[in-house]
Amino acid sequence: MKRLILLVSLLAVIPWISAFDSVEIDESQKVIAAVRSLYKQQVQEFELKAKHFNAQAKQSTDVKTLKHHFEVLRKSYKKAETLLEYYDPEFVKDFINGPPIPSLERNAPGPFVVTPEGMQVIDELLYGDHPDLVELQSFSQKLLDNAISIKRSQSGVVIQHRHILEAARLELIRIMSLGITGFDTPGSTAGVVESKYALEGIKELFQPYEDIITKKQPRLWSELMTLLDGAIVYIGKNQNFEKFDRAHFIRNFGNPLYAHLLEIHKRLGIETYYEVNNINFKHAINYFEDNIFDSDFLNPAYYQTVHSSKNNENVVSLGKTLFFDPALSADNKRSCASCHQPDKAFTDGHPKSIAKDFKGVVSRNAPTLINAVYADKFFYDLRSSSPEAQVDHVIASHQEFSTSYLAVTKKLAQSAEYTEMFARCFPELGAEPIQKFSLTAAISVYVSSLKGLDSPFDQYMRGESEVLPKEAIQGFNVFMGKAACGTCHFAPVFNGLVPPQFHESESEVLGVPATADIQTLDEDEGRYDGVTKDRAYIYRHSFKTTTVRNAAVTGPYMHNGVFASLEDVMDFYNKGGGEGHGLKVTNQTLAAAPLNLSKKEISQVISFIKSLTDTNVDTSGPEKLPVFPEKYSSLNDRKIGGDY
Amino acid sequence: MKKFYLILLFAVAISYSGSAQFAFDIEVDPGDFLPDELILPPSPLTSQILFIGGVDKVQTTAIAGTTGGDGGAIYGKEAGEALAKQWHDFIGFTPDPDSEDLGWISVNHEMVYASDSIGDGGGMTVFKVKRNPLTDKLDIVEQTLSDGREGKFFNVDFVNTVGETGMNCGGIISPVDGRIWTAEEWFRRDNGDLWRNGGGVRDTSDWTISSDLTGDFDGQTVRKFENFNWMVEIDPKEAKAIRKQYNWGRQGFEGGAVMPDNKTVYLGADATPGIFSKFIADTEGDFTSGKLFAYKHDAEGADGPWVEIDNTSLSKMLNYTAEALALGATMFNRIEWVAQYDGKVYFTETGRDGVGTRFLNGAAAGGIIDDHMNDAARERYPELADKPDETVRDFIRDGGFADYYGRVCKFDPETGLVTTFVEGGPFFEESPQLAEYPEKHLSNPDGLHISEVDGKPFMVIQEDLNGTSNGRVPAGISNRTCELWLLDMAVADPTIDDLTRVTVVPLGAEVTGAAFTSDGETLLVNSQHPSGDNPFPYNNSLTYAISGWEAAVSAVTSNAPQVSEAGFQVWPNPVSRELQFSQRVDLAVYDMQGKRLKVVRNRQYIDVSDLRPGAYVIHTNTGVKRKFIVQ
Repeated sequence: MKRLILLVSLLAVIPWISAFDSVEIDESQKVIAAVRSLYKQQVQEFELKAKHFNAQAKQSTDVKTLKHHFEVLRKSYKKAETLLEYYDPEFVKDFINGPPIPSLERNAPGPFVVTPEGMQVIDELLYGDHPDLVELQSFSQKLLDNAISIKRSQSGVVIQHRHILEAARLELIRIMSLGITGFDTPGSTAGVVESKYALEGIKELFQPYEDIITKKQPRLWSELMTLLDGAIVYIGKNQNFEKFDRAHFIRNFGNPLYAHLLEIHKRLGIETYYEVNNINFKHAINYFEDNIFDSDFLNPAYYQTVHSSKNNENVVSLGKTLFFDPALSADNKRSCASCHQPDKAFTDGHPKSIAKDFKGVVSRNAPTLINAVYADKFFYDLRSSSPEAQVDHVIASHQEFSTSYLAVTKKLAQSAEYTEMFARCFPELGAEPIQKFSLTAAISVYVSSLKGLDSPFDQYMRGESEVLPKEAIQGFNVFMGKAACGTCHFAPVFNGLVPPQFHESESEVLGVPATADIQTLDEDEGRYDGVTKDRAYIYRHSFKTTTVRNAAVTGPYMHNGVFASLEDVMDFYNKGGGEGHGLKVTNQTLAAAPLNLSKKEISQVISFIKSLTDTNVDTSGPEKLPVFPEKYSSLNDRKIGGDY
Repeated sequence: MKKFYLILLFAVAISYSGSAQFAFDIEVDPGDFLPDELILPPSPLTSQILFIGGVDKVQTTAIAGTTGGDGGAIYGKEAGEALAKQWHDFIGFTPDPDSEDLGWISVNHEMVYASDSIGDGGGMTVFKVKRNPLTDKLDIVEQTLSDGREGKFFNVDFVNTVGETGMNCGGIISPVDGRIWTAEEWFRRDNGDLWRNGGGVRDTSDWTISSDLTGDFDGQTVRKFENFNWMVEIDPKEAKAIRKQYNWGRQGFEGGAVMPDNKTVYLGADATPGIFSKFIADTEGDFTSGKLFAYKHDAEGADGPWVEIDNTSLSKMLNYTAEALALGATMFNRIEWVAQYDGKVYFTETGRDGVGTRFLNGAAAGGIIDDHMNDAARERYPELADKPDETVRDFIRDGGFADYYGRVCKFDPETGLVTTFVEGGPFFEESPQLAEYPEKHLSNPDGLHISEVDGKPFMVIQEDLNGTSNGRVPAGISNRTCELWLLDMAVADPTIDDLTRVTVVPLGAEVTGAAFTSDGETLLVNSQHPSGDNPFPYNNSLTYAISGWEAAVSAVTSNAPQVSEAGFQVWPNPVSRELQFSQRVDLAVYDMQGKRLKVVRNRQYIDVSDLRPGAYVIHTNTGVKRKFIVQ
């Protein structure tokens, strides 16, 4: 038998080596043709349902009827979502299924606010109290126009096998991190049942592959079907949004499917995005990881501007030395570690950090640096576009290092030891290796090495551990469901990095108060005062959505450190943020309605947050700081980490 | 041993048998290819880094201390040096007829950033270059300016002269004598826009104008933000600003062009509605006095399609757009850069995904819509195909036209007409396909420059994508891909088929500010948005010089097949660093260890600019296997 297989295999090889087998090319083309026709049907169906819904919106005043037609429309969209989102994610976001909050026009000559439209706006409208049906008509008409438009633009898209696999895996991330949280169904919270339709859409797309995958290995096909059907049936039986066991779904269906599609992709030998893009291009998702809770699921290099090759031990070590060296500050008394202390998970435990010379405090709280690299914008006001660029502020601020790059690099260059360390890490810089570029790059590489994505929760979700307190599992469910935390603190980093591409960091207007008794809105304008192009009213008092990972050990909380405990934070959210507490907040992006979480649910969420603690990073400082020559000998008395 | 061999064979066989249907093998026998080799020679274009933002040091002037908007002390620095600002955009080139040196280069910094030593806001850096006769490269010349500053790079002094600038985007180079103007884009609407909690322009006290312009400008006091968004002339030789051109109107300027008569200036505003303007100086070379007009295509007075706006009045100049619209000016959709050649004026109309009510509001204020967009609108919306011009115009005015591609326009002073020179797109009923992209595609043109290379005029067009939707990037590609295009101006009625892609940017960085040196040998380019995994310094804002254009232009024009065989030909294009094929193929590239590196499908070329020099093998789905060498 074995021998026979070998022979058959060899026979298959021979014609290939000389040329493609035309029969097999035909078969491949047939599959593509079948997928194309399916996709066309999916999109047509969506357009048709948009037409029906629009007709209903124009004639019916019965909200129940309208809701019914809307559900049918949403179902048709979810079935088509996998490829629609893959081929034109921006169009979908802008016009079909983007968040129902105003945004800024891209690449425009000024900060122009764009009014949201699409199904999420309709969802919120239709499922709110006393929906404005005139407004609904205008949105349903726009949606229909856009459905027609995307149908036209998609009718000729050239589908490739790679696209199907990548799109399906992205859709699985979308389901796990957004769909089941109710992210795109803000009014109806139909996210769980809709995830079933999305899975049915994936299943449809794979049907034409049955022969080819089976031929490769029957198990590959049968397992795919078992997993897809299992997931579909599981959701079918567990449609209650609050009770849906998300941890179970992700562990038993979501992640296994994500892994299985990777296996199929590899086994079919189809190219991946690494091979069709510029070889040097960085991608946010490490495609070959098979679990969204894997420590390497995201690629830290993507978020830095420093070249990937610099993510090595030497540079980490140099970065660590710089991080703890007070020579970076004008008076040699403060270092990065002054406010980002390793024994406090790289925070300082203060509401706001102590300013230079103990003259008051700086303007905001020192956030943890563990997992900080996973963002496309940095600082609470999102004003820096890379971890490297963050250093600019600390160097120049009169409350912090109060110096300049020119002064610091000149100072460090006096040390032969430093020069040698830099030269080893950055040989391409020649005789002057200590520059703004190399200084910030080394610190950035060190900070990106502070990765804490292997918490008890991660191990449980990867199936490596069966032990996680039941309370934490329930807490995850509340976090991702009823409490809606997961609709802003997105899995897997549980910060504002938006799935499934993880290209963009979000900020939110929560109405954070000035004091813990929630009497007045904090004066800090946040993102509005960040970069020029963000200066629009929608970003007044808007702050970066920071990670929930390690929150149990990184209080106090919020940009101003106003809340001392997680209980205080939960209470703030539970009552609808600043607006829910009666503060006047314009444009709060957090729903002002109370969440109605019970004490038990709050304690479950906190238990889940505690299960995300992973501070198992290198917290040791350098053994010693580089030596300066005799002339600057007073520098040699400087303390590792600074005086205060 | 035998057993091992068998297992190995078995494993290999497995991977072959299935992938034959779908994919190129992940690994192949690297020795299996046809004997004749294909050579991709080095690009005739060579690049050299001239200036790196945040790394190179600029010489600064003293700035007297003052107080910022919060009462804090700012400035108060002696002359010295500082790290140059970043976000390079426009490049100006000013030839030096009086010495062996080539000339001065001026670089815009499109940012707003507080700095005690450089000055707040945006800014510019200038330096001088000469051509090294041995290497043919550009050397930076050490200079001593009349204010005593010595060095290579100089910060242009705005604070002590005309007041800070912000977001220095485009600019103007006079073809007559290389005079330079910088354009302040990003329209400021109040002082808070400048102040940005101390991160922007900190001195927000009122500004008293000191000016030699004809009109009521001198001595008037304006609010600080009103001193932004002008065209500003600088002296690149002395690294200081000369004057804000209050008599050209206050707009979100992006670009402009001085005509060879040294009197006429055309100006474009990056806005919707964006006004196309013209200034005519009373005296050649003296832009302090003259008349200002807004384009109105249907005007039939003595001024032709232009309406005059009193440019001796500060209040009218502060409200230029409203004044122009009230006189019925023609409205454009984001005019970016302006260039001139052979008496004609060219400008990029970059387009906008959602025009919304901007044209409608502009029309309510008096603005009118031109017909040049009609063809594009008709192509996009088949239902308009047979409709009269007036209907299409109204459709555009009402915000119906999602102009997501944009175009390059041409204004002919003889006829007074603005026409489309190269339309963006193409718009297919089916979205632009991977197979058609980016060979034949133009989206959101932005930078524009025309120069003679080897005696022949070429237009350089740079894209700056407003988004990725509607096929602006190929299916299955999620990142923005902005191209640099070369167009032979000898081509009559060009279309996107006539564009040649230029891949000169190492590791795919985006470029802005293309400008040729006066000898036509070197294109000066800025890389503004570092993207991708670029090694230092390509992850910075930088200005570099690309030389070798004569050879490149001839390589583009004589791009003949190098290796041929029945039915399939392949030849290298050293300018775009591509292998080109005579027919559409699926193709994989392997290294000499047999590892698959790249795959393209249904394409007529493959970009190999990211491959290191060395030998590679290509396999096509039609059975061709060939080795090629990247030199």
